[in-house]
Amino acid sequence: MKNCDEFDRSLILDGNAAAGDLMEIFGREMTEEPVECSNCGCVQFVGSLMAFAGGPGLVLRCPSCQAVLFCSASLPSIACLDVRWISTSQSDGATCPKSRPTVKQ
Amino acid sequence: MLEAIPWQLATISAIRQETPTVKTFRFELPNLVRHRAGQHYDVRLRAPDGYVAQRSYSVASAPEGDGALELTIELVTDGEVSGHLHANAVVGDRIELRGPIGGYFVWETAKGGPLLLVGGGSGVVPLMSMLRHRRSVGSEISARLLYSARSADDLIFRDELDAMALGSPEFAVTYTLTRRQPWNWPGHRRRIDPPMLSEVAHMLGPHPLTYVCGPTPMVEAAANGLVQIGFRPGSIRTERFGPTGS
Repeated sequence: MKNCDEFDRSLILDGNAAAGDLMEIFGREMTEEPVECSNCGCVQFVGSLMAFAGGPGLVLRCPSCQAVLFCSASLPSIACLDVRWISTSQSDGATCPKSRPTVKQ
Repeated sequence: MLEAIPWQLATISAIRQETPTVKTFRFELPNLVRHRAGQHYDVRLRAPDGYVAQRSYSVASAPEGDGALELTIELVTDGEVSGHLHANAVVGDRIELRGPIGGYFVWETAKGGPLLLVGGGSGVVPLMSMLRHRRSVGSEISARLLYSARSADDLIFRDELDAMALGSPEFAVTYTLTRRQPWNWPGHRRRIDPPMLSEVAHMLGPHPLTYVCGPTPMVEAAANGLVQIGFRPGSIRTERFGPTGS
């Protein structure tokens, strides 16, 4: 898995920066949704995921293990989605002992 | 694609210069939806050749506004949207907006407190909406703002923040200037660090609701510093701007 240290860290945004695009895709406000990382099992709010929006699409990664949890890209007639998070009803959010708001610098 | 929040053609009704690089744009919308403090709007510009540029800007005004919406926007070097708005936009122009957007970086009095706000540069904008909301409803929830800017000239809303602090014993603001300081500057003169965070937070008790907004490096430093001084990671909500800002 690509390590976050390989990215320009100054490009990292939060999931809430993608709230508008996510609302278009899902039809509702998503940033307060708790989701479970399919790689490490941490539960995070969508708004707290690491967001990369500078490329041709949107990528959201787990802030704990950096696994890709969501990708989207749109063309005029088609939208491509890759959703790897697991929806959860856990309302507390951020329950992974390893979770943190940022990753090591 | 679903059109969960429709785009609207908003009219600029006023423009206010806040600092040399920051302006507040006041918009009248055909269908203004009451926002929650901390939410943002997407702004979309279309060139005649079809090219589209879109950016997100935080709402500065309180939800309890007077029927208009205020977005406070910093001029970003080579910024397509902020550059156009700063250089060309005039009162009467019509701009495409959609919002309000976001539910994660939101505070309202119903969420309780105490409230710790940490802002860098124009990252103070959504925090200002929270503080204006707190003032508008007459809340006595304890709140502290730690506000970092490059210089005194770059402090947005300084007069209003100082007046807010004078008018409410439950609110205090601490400034730090990272690049240039007046000779008689009474505040801090360095980047935000754990001792500074401790100094601001210690009067709020062990578990304040915490919101951090600013350029990505500043947000990471502040959030990591808060964890170092004992904050639970889950209690810290962040909003990063990316590489721009102070």
